[in-house]
Parts: sequence; structure tokens; C-alpha cells
Amino acid sequence: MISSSEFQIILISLRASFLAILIILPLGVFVAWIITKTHFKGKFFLELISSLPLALPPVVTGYFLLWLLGSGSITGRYIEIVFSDNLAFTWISTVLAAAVVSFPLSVRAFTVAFQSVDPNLEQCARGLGANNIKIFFTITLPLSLRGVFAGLILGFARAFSEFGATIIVAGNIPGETSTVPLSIYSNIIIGDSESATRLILVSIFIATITLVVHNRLIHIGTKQK
Amino acid sequence: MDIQFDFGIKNGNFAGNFVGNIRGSITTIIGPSGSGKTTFLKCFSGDLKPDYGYIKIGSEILFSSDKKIEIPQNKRNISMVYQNDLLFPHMTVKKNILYGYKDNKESSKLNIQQISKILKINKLMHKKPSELSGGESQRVALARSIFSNPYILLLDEPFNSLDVVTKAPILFYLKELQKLLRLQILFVTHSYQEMFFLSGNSILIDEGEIKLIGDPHEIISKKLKKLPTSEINNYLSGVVTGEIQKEDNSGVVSIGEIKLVVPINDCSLGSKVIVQFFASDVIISTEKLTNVSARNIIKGEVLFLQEMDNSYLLTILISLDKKIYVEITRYSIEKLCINKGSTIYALLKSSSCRVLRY
Repeated sequence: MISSSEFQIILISLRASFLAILIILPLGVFVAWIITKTHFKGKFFLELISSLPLALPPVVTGYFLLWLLGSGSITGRYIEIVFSDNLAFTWISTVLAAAVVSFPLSVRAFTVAFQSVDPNLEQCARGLGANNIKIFFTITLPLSLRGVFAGLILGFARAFSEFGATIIVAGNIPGETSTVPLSIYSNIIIGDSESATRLILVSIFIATITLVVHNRLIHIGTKQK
Repeated sequence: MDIQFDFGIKNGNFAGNFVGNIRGSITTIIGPSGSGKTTFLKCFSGDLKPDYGYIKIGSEILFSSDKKIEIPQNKRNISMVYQNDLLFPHMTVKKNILYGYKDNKESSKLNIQQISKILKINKLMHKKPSELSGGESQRVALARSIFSNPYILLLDEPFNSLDVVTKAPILFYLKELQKLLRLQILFVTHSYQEMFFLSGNSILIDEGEIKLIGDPHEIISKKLKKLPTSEINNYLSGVVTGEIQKEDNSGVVSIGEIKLVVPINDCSLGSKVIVQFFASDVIISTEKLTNVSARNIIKGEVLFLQEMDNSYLLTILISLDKKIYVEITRYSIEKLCINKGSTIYALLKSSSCRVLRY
């Protein structure tokens, strides 16, 4: 059976993943909206930066995060003033690492969802006097809700499995930043194969559930069109 | 309002340059497909941006390349009904039609119940667009545009995909609403029928240019070969007033003072109907005949005489405000010595008429 410490590890991972997609939801939807619905010079850079963590080794992403949170950078010093603490190697950094790494995946899904909405409907709404905000909340978002939800689930799955960036920026502190993948890694290293197996099974279970939900959403979405 | 424009636009392979001035309540814009009618209209709605020139409505400049003015689409107060109804699929009919409705003083002239009743959509309010027929969808789309209370209502061949039975009543509703709300309408069509039915003023567009602005008779005199010379229809709205004769299913429809014997189908006494017949199905006589098989003889005066490809189109005034169109050959015109102002009798077989529910 799952021990209480393993249960705590699972909770840390679930917390990091849920909070990560909570961050991704407004930010990712906004970025995806800019990418699909606006035209400006330099949009290319936004697209590049927002999908960079997809292509970079997570360790590199983690390194950048560490630098951003650490007292060596302006952002890090600012954070220290606001939170009167350094956020690196805290549970918050597990959330941030998971969010940054999953962000591109969700944004891609949101982008596809927004692109699938007939632009003529949005144009028509504009002709009826609607501004960008009204168009987004009354036409674009309701018509792409399934895709947005699917993107969040994909983000959740990616966040739950996050390893490379987390180990750099959050370390592997038991009870604080030790997520399921990090614990599996350390259990294998120290030879606790029973605990490792249990956590591996939990990972497989959660991955399966999220992917089944994701695929169902996509399937229903295409069936309705 | 007075609409003035002089602008040019390139859109893909299409290049157009439009100069003109539009007045009057309903203006139809006619031309062959690919001539630039839709592009022209979309420059007013803001769907497309001209490359140069200006568009002015009343004293307001919508677009001017010189003055660098471009009023955004959502601030133009010009609403368009597209070829495809473009109803919002996730909203009910009610939510669709109220999408652009602003609850203010200016909108108070829009009586939602009354307009919905005229368009016969008052019983569809809780349906989703996917549950509507083609005619219903276009009526809802029309209502949605009207409820946004536009200065100008643009219609881009909105009833193209509908058959005559569905289309004719909507054209009547549109005319009725135009009068009620004093709407200014620009209506794109490629059908002479719709042009004649709707407008006193028309614009002929071909090859990306305005060739002529005038009344429908002037337009038809241009004999534009590329336009399908679809048969010209007559639509007359009336009320079933006479006894229905069971043996041939015919009845009397009163159109003002004129009474027509027509096949009545299953319309009941007192119901509002539209009588439709083709201009080419009418026979003309210069004297009143008594022994003829045609059951309808209508006296009238020739208002216009317009030469078309192989025939003449006569516009005949049959009562104070009712006109019918009749198409006859050049031979008949010469033989009967018909001129503008001639008094004639139009003979119409009952079986040439179709009765549509209004």
C-alpha cells in the first residue's frame, strides 16, 4: 500500500500540476489569442519565446528559472523584497517549473482551438458592434471551450511528469519539493524499488486518466463539426 | 442619408475602383458574379479596407486614405447580412438576435416583439440555429442585423440559397420593415427580379466599376450579357377573400381593389398571401375581350417600355400603387401599337399563378 510519505509526494505533485494549469489558463489563453487573432511586427518572437521550453532541454529551462528566481538577477531581488524570501527551492518553484515547461504545450492546443473557430463569425460579431473582448468571451471562447479544456489537461499531464527543470530550480527536498518523478528517481538511486514501483504505477494511472479525458474531448470536438 | 464614395481596392486577383453617390431608402446593387459587388459592400461594412480614396456617409467620414481615417468595423453602425447566415451556433435564436442590441434611447424604436412577428421568428426564440430551416435562418440573421440598430443595413445576396416559395415572403417582410423603421438598405443581388421588386434606385457594377446608377429600367436597358436574364417575376401581396371552389381548387385573392382568381391550395379565407406569376405568362390586349379562357383580366396603363434582348419589358400600373411587369415580343409591340401611356388589358391564366403563404 501507499505509505503516508508517498501520499505526501503525490499531493505535492498534484498541487504543483493544478496550480501550474491555473497559471497557464489566463496567460496561455491570452498568448494564444495574440498569436491567432492579431497581427503585428515581432509576433514571431512571442511565438518563439512561448514555445521555446518545448524544444529546450528542461534542465536548461530550469537553469534559467533558477537564475530568474535567484538573488543574482533583478527579478530575483524584486521577489525577495515582495515575499521577503527567495522562492528557489520552495514548493512555489515546483509550481513555476511545471507551469513554464507545460506552457508551450497548452498554448499550442489553445491556438489550434481558436483557429478552428470560423473567423467569419467573429467578423460578423464585430459588425454587430462587438469589441475584441466581447468577441472573445461570447464567440471565440465558447466555441473553442473543448479545445481549451483539452489543452489544460495536456498541460496537467506534462506538469505532473515534469522532472528536469524542477530538480534544478526546486531541488528534491522531501516533504517540500519532492514530486513523484523526483522521488521515483531518488528511490531508484537508493535501491528502494518497491516504493519506486508504487509511484511508477501512480504515474501511469494519472497519465492514462488524463490522456483518456483529453482524447475524448478531442474526439467529441471533431465529431460535432 | 447621402452616401458618397470614391475608392479603389485590390483583393486577390480582383481590382476595383468605385465612384458614386447613393441616396434613397433601398438601393440594389446588381452585376454578374465576380464583378465586385461583395467587395464593394464589404468596404462599407469594414470587412475590407480600401487601398485609397474615401467613403462618406452623411457628414461622417468612414474611411479616408488622405486624412488617414478608418473607423473600426465595430464602431461603424453598419450591419451586414451575409450570403451564409453566420448565426452563432452556440446561442439560441433569442440570444442571436439580441447580440448587437444596445439598450438605449435610439434602440427604443425597435419593438422586438413586433419585428419578430413581422419576420415570423417569434416562435423560434428558444431554438438553436442548427434546428432552423434555411429560410428561418436568414430571417433570424436579418432580425439580428436590424436589432443592432444600424444606420445602414447591407445585404449581400442573403436569399440566394432559398427557393422562390421561401424567398418571396422574406422580400415582402424586408420591404415592410424598411418602411416601418425607415431603414437605409444596400442590397446586393444578381437577379433582375429582386432589383425590380425592391428598389427605385439601382447600381450596376461590372468588372470592378460602377457602370450606371439609375432606376431598374435604365439598368435593364444596358442589356448586360453576363447577367442571367432570369425571368422577371411579379409578386403581389393580397388576402384570400373569395369562395374556394372545390372542383379546381381556385379562389379569389384581393389585391387592393383588384381581384384575381388563382389556385388557392390550402390557404383559408382571410389569410395573407403572395400571388406570383412570370412576366412572360401575361398576355396583352388593347381592347377588352369578353370571350376568353383566361380568368383574370386586369386593366392598366403602360408606365415604361423597355427593350431587352429579344423582347420588351412593360411596366404596367394596375392601381394607384401597384405595378406588374409584362414581357412581350417586339412583334406584338409593333402590331398592337403599344406606347408609353397606352391603356391595355393584361390577361392572366389562373393556372399561371402561384400562391405563396405570406
